[in-house]
Amino acid sequence: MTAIMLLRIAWRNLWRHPRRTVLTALAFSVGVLLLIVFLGLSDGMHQKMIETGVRLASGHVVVEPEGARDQAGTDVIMTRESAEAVRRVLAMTPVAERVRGSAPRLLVSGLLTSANNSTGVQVIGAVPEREEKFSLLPDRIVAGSFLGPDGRTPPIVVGKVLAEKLKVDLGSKVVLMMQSGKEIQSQLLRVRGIFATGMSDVDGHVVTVSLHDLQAWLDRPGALSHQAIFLQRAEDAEPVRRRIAEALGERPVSVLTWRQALPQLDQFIRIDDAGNYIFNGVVLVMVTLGVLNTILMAVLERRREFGLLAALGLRPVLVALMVTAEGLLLTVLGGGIGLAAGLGLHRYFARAGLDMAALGSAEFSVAGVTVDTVIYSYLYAGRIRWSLIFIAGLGVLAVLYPALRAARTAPTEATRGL
Amino acid sequence: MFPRLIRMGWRNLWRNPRRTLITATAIAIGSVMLAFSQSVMEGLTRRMVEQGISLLLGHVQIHASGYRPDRSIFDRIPGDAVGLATRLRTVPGVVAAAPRVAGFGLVSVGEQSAGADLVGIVPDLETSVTTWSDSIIAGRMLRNSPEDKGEVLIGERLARTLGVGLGSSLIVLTQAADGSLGNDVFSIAGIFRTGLEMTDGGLVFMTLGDLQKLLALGPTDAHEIAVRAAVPAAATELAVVLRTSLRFPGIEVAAWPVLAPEVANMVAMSDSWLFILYAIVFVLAAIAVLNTMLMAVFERLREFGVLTALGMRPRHVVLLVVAEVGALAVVSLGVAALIGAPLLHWIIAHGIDLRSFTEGFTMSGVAIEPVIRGAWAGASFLLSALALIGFALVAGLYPAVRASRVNPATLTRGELR
Repeated sequence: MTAIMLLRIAWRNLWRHPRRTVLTALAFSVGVLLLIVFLGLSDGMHQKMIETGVRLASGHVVVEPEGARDQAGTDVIMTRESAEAVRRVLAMTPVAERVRGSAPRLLVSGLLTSANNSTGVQVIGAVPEREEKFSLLPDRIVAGSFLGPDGRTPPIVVGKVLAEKLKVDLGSKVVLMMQSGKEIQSQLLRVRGIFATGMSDVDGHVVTVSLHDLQAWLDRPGALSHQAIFLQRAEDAEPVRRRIAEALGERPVSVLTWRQALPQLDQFIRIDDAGNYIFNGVVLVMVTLGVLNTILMAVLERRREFGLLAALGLRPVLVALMVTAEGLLLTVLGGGIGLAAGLGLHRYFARAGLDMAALGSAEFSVAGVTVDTVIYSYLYAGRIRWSLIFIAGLGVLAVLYPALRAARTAPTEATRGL
Repeated sequence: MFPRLIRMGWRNLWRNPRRTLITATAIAIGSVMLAFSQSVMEGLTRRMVEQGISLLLGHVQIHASGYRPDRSIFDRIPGDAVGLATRLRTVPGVVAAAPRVAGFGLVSVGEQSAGADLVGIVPDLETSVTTWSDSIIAGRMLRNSPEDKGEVLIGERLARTLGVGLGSSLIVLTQAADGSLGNDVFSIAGIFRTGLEMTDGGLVFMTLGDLQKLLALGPTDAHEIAVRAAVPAAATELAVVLRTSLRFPGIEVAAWPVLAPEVANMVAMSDSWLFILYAIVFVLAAIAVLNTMLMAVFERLREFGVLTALGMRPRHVVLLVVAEVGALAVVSLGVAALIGAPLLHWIIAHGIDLRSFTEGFTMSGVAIEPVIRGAWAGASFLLSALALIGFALVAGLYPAVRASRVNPATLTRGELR
């Protein structure tokens, strides 16, 4: 008895009850479809969150002075020697080809005052040309430009919420007070750009000035708080981090990936992933029980048939294989339809996106990173591979018991009730 | 006839106990997942409202019109704000009300400085409205007594940034309402940790009197009155009541959904997520019921033919099958209760402990604790159980009608199936 023949018989057996087979396959395909769509949407959402977080904060990989995380302030500054070393590492081939760009920054806190109001701000000293392609703020300019051409008054870029709070607009003058050593430094600036990220913490508290200006005001030429590094692919963060850390050796700096620099975001994504696994698992178990039910019923109502086969000398292994083939064909049929439909939906959502606002959802934020209501599906080969293995595993589990039952049918069953 | 049909349906269900139990288990697993998700979401949103709102905001806030969102120190509540807060406490539905003064300043110690929001509070009123004082991890809450002047509470993150601890003194520099530069020395009476970056890193509390002096305001001036409502969920209604009953000119009364739209958004998001879950579980359960009942009906077509031949009305055959479907749904819910009860008990009483994995994170500006606990969502549970029975009955209609249409004449021909 060849495998082909077994499959043919199994296929024919399946269609002895077309309605039942179709319904079961349909339920299973709905389960698989949901799996694919949910994986795509949740990965897509996470991907977007990572991208926003990375662009808003300190890049895929960040080099910062040791201890900067425990004590924020102007005292923890990267030495000029370390900054030079970082620049050299970034130019090395194995790193350079994975890096899209890097941005040196100096961070201090200050008090920003307009004619109407005053508020505390986080001041980022940045080099505009280095930020433009990678970080979020230049991308979200709604008026003016990102630290555009220098006028006589040094430029500052503020968030929309901050601008409203201080009642300032493009061209308005503001005073930035910062501590420099034991003294308070006041600096007159002109608003050159306004950004709106939609994140109230950012739009209301972050301002950007030119790195060289800031270093000059604080009388700390060359001082940096960190160097943000943006990569071609987010997956390269860990290998690149390791290379940079090795190359920098014993210098008093720490090299972190975004997972370490934004631990809350990383943890949220992991927890959300775990929740999705449970959800997908439960849905698949539900539909697999449907397959089990169908195959088991098919086996139990055919006791006489299996008894006859046994009496005719068909080996129990082959009976078991035949039933297994029925179950697997059913799984493949349902799984195939679900996979095809799921991938189709995934491609649609990858292009057009799913607007959760239509379902009554609204924008929310995690760890300070806003999650857009429009989600674009994202799937990668590894995810699909593992889901297929999982589905196949469930299919095998579902037919195990019915196949054993069928194989154990005694030949006497054939004559029972005659 | 009715009780008899139900008894027959119940008995029919157990003619194939294995099939019944497998189907019931599939539906039960889905229902348990649904109940579990409802419980966790209910716990999460309840906690978000409780913590996100009660921590600092208060359920309802009163400001001068136009104070929000600029929060300019010049826009104080007109007239005697402290007196208004006292009057508010007599309004039914209000548990407590606390006046506050808010400003902004540069806080510095030695060569370290940071910008911070300054909040002036009346300590005993504040603790009756908000809960942030429970998160003081070192030192103590401010006191009302006059000798406690010149003390502040700061967040843990800010303390770390400045490199200060309990008892350290710090200088607060601010722009006062009269245009002058206000500055004074304060000593740290306590340090708090709420888990919120912005709060722990950028908030300084002092007594109302101290901040009024620093900002050159009068002793009855305040920018904000925070109100604790007896029923947090009815805050919006309370705001309307306050607005109409106070008759205080030039003020604005806002409830928490307006003050913290992110939290309201979170609640909306969790609702829409649950809705998707409902749809999925119910559709899958309906398919399971349909499949099972089709099997049950088609293998017994002859039996239904006999019943019809014996004079049972088609209507009653339909009811018989529907009774079987209803019994199946009830058995499913029974299995769900059996699996679900211990699971729900565990998630509500103990929760998922993620402390070894995370210190918690913020969602829409609210700190989520690293122990995820569920809450009892009785109404939602009942509603989804009823919906499940409804979906099952609808799914069972086709098999039921099919069973009632058996032509007794074909009974003997062996053509059935």
